[in-house]
Amino acid sequence: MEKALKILNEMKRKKIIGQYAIGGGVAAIRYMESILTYDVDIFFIPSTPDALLLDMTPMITFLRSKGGKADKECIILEGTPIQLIAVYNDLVTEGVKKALPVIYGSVKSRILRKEHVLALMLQTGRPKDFLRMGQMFQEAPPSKAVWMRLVEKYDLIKLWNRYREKYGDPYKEGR
Amino acid sequence: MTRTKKEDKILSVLRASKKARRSALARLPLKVKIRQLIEMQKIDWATKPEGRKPRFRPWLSP
Repeated sequence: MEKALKILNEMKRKKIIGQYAIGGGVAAIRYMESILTYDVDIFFIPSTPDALLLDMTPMITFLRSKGGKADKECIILEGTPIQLIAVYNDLVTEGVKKALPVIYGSVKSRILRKEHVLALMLQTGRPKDFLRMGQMFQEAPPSKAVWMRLVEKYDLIKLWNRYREKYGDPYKEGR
Repeated sequence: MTRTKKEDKILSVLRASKKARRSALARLPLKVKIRQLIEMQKIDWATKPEGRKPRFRPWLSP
């Protein structure tokens, strides 16, 4: 993964992509004990954020020149499947902009904050996202104020209530 | 069947130990956790039968 991050940093330096941040399962691992995942989600802001269509050609050409191979929805970089996801809504965009710097081995990178990781899990809403949410709320809960600000700002209240009905309120005392 | 006080005490010690262990694991550096992840991927890959293998192979390096 370290080598893959180096390549992504080079891609950013060359302005092929804008700012990026690690998300998904790997970002969750930053805050809790390891969970099983097989790819690295990279959320990025396109270098031309206002364009109506995203041209992936420069990215693919660059990654191929670095030995990257397309496999399903990922590009395998140095043996690590990387899924490049252009920011697709305001929540993801905020997540990338407010991501935390992280030093991984010898490489500087950025990783989503825990509240954004959780909010994206809530928004995505697959069973595995809810399972991971439960674990993350147990091991690394964001402050309730920070969490509720995000839930309200991005209109996630219905999803949050549904989650609480099904799995209980992680902020309730005694849980 | 109700639990005895002794059983309750043992359970609470077990829960507290589990919580402490999880918390210690959560504080490990990301690269250490990614090494653990790769070990988990290898076990998962090796134990899944053909046809139910994960979409990707275990990573080559952390």
